[in-house]
Amino acid sequence: MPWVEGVLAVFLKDWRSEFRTRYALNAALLFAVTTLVVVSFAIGAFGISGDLLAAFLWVVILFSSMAGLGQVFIKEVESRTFTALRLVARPSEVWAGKFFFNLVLLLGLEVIIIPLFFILLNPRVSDWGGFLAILILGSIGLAGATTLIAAIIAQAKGKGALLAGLSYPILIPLLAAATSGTRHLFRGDGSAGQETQILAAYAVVVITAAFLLFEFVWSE
Amino acid sequence: MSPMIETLGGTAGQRVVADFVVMGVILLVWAGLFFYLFRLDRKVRALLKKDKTG
Amino acid sequence: MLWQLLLFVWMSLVIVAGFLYAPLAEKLYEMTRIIYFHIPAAWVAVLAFLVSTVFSIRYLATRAWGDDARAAISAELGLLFAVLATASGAIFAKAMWGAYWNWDPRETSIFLLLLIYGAYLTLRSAVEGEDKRARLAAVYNILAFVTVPFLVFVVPRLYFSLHPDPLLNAQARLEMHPRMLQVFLASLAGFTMLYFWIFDLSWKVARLKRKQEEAP
Repeated sequence: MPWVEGVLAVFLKDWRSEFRTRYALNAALLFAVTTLVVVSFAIGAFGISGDLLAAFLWVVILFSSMAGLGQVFIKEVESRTFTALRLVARPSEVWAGKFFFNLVLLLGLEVIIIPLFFILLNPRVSDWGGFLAILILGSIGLAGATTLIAAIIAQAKGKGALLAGLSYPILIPLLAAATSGTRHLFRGDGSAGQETQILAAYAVVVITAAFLLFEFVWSE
Repeated sequence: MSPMIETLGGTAGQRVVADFVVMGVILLVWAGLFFYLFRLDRKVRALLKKDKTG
Repeated sequence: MLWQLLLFVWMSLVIVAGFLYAPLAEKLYEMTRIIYFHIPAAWVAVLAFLVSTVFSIRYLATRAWGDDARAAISAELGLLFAVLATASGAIFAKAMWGAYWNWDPRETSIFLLLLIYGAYLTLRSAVEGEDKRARLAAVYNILAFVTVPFLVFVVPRLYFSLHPDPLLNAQARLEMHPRMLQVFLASLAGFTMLYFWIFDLSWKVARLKRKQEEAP
């Protein structure tokens, strides 16, 4: 089976099973929405600065990812399909398929969270193109790193708790760049060009590394 | 004036003595660490040699 | 044997020189001596990470338990030095700028290194099966290493544009008096030797333990 078809097959398999239960999406969405609502309520009538809003946005995205993106391998272990998948698909196909799945999941999550964020907290954006670029590039890097780490922890004890602990050190550069860039756009003081480049570079580096390393996680 | 000196105070003479005391303590700590490692090193070497010949 | 005693004399001289030979810096006065401890410790913490990553890469190629063992040893050592560096750094920061912690780029980097070490060792303790543990830990180590350039070179650039880095500025102004520089470099060398010695010892101990386990 040619590679692209293999990737698509893995992706669709995950997509269909997720669609049936919506387990990961629900977990992530529940967390994100609850947090947004609670914070908005706590802030009340007082506005918060663009700085804080930028940081808050990315913290919500990050934490929601931890809630939702880890499932992609854990479910294979729990439903005992891990070995079957290993026999049937090539490592690179598995990684790519699951990476795209996580990416689509994350972007779908953001489609819901971002409007809610804007409705509740009302930031001003000076450059929508730039904002979307940061969002998308950041999501790609986030999904890339998290997917590999998810594969690692699926084979460890205490999976869920480990995901956050292992991911944060790796994701800090991404968080820093994304927050900084978003901050510029919320404050309207200059462009986020530098940060966008950093996010792009990070995404490339992480995805390349994950792609090369995944085989060692997947096969014995 | 360094904040430390402000809080700890003391005359210049006292400070010099304190300096020597701190230096002495650090030297002792280092000596302790070193000789611990040194003894360990000897023990390990002996055990490794025994393994080679034994 | 001999070089170890040499190391003892060397570091003892460094300590004495730090107190009696090198001058005190402006603003820091007696606290100046922390520099001879803090920066070498941070340097070793980074070196240990590099060594650990090299052995992790080797492990993925050789699958020899010894490579994994040394990756873990270096990580444990690195954690120790990272803790020492972070703690001494906080004391240095307090003496220099009045606050123990500021999240300035350097402080953030060393703290992150600490987190990476912690995560790596936690992962090791959470995986059962020697081969699996070695394999997964090696992958994580390499992934973490790959993001370190971003941490070291990129993130400071971001923060610099927001608020000037007090550490870089101060260090530039903290032009080291030649004697200070001498003691500092000597300490750096000593710390590095110390690291290699402890690393070597730990590796020998690991080999001994392994032999005991394999041939009762």
